[in-house]
Amino acid sequence: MTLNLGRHAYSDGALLIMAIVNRTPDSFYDRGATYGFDQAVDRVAEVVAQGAEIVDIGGVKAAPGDEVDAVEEIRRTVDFVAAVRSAYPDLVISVDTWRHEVAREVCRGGADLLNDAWGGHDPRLAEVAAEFDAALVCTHAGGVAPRTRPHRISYPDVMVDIISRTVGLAERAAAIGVDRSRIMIDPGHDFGKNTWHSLEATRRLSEMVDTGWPVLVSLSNKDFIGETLDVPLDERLLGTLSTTAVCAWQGASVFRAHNVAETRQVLDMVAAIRGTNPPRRAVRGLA
Amino acid sequence: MSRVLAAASVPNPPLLLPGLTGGPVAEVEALRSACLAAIETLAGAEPDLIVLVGGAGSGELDSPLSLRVGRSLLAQAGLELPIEAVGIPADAPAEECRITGERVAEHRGRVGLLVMADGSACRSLKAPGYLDERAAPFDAMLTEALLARDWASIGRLDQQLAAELLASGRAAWQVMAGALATGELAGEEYTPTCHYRDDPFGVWYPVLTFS
Repeated sequence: MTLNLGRHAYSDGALLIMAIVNRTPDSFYDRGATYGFDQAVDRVAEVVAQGAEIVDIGGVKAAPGDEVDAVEEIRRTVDFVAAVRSAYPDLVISVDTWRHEVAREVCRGGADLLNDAWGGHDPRLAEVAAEFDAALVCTHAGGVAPRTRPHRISYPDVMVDIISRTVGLAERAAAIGVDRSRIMIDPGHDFGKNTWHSLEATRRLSEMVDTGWPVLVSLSNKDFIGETLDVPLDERLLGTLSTTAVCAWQGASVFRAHNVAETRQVLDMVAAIRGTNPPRRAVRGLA
Repeated sequence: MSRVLAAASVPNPPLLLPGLTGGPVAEVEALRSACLAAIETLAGAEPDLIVLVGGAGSGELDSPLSLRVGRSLLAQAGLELPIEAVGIPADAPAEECRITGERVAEHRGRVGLLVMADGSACRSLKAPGYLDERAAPFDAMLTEALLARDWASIGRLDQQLAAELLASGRAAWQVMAGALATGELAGEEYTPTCHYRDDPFGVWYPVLTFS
């Protein structure tokens, strides 16, 4: 089905990159590299040049840490969203937040998409999406509170739980007025999950695709990749990219990523193998 | 009274078929432009029939690549004329080629002759047939002979050497030589023009017209 984001309509088979732009001093991968306004502006220019269709602006790191209240989160995100909107009228702007107060302000500033990575913790967030005709990511986080780590979580069947919760959130959002063509679902790798859960979610991702809702995956450099390969943070790119390919092959549509240029190559390769995009230059054996 | 009004010789790599390079490839588009210009020259002679000549490998007599590329280029050029296709076996002896060419020249009507022919495929280390030092002189000799309308030399091209150099155009050029030599005996005059000559992928691609 068509996925509408901002001014864009994407057809089935489109493979989109959501580039991560953190306005945080303490996020796990970039460790504050784009906390400064100017650094964040440069990061947006870089990822756009590398082929990202979406930027995902975050003001609060996912892991536990220093308290960031709604006022501070708004301070970190809203002016920046407005600046990006002004500089890139066509770029899809997402904001990674679970708070409806923040959502309302960033939508006023020009955000197109609310990335609710904490699984509908604040039910009023979807109401804001409906109010502003914004898009919404409905994520599985296993019912845990924002910024908590999973502790001895178990599921009778993790994919059944993922589908039940994310589709439930999506249907609820649609029922309160979010445009159905602007809703995505996300299995929430590492969120409310141990590594076994995240691997199974990846292995069975096609079951999410089969629901008909566009699937977003957020894999980039996460701990389940680090644990699977037993590698530190700065050695997770290959694991991230191979997982990206497996998800793309199964039908995921949107890929939230730190490493945009590399992810673009992986997705272009998958699209060519699938036969939806041609090679850029095929001359071998044809001269 | 037969008349071969003009002829064009263009190469026939699969690269020229629509979409086969995936994205556009600059070297291929330059070659394609030259081929379309040559077909435009052919059309300028106002033929009412295109006789399309191409070599056919032993395994492709039903639909030789050369003729498929030729039909495709005619379509890409927007030339809507009846096409009579003549597939000549790639290993046909010179005599058979000459006779086939003479028959083309005896055709009733105003004929535009489109010949699909490539030179050697052994012009560089990355060429399909690897580097063969004999390739460059062979291609130079045959290209000069074509531009000089030296049909006798074309008729005497070394069949064995051409095969070893993967010069798949040998037979088609010998058909063209037979046709144009006959045309000249009947009073036609053909001015040769070179639209392109290069080997971007190690294969010799001359694009020539005689009009």
